[in-house]
Amino acid sequence: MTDMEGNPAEYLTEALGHVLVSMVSMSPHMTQADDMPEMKTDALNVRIEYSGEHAGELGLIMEKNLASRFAARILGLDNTEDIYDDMIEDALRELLNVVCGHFVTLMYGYTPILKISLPKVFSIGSAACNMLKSNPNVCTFTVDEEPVIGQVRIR
Amino acid sequence: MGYHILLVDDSNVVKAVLMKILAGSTLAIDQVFDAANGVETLKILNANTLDLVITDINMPHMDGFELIERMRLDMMLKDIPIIVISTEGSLTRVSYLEEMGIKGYLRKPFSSQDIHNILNEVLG
Repeated sequence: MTDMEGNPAEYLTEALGHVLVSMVSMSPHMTQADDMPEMKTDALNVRIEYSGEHAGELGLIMEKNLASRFAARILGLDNTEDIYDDMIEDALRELLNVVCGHFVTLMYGYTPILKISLPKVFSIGSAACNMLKSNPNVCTFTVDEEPVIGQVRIR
Repeated sequence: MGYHILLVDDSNVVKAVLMKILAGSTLAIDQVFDAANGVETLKILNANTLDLVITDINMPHMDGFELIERMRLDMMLKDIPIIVISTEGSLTRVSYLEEMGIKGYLRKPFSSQDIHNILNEVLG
């Protein structure tokens, strides 16, 4: 694979698909922004950066309900009643960390040495999410019929 | 006398998953310690006798590379087997870890079978 070959959004989709299937047995479906369901509640925005021979930033935005299902599945729990906020954020950070590891391999190959930051989680309002989904620099998915926004910024 | 194993990862969720997998292992495991970074790991290693360290790379305060380098320079710790479980995909970095004498490398995401296989390779 040559450097910068292909579309970053496609690589994010591929990395996300691989990781979600492996970690939570769920698949993301890429959708057009207009077809993605609206976010009804405030969401969690998890972000990570990589730097070195190449640099960029990845982000995932989803509602807490879906994030708590991810956490429950990672932990092998049947329901989300026993999932607390810190576990949800921890699971989201780990998820994006693994996605980023696979994204940079797909994007740049196995040769570059890249430093991957520690992921950070922020809150974002539903109105902001629903405006963001029309931004041409984001990709939109559904997972289990819930909306997910992915962001890739190559520096 | 069973094995004493130390899990090192800044994610409590990952450690909980690994604890559950270790609990289902056929290996005789007496005690599983856990740490969130390299600094905590060195404190635990200096106070206990461990048979295996399973560590992540990308962690705050002291990452897995520095932890392994420090363990290899310490006469008391240099022979403890290390398995790395990480998102690291750079072959250059994985080769460096192998040069430092790690016993196994597993890329995340992992399955429970992956963990059992690598444990059996290293300890079995």
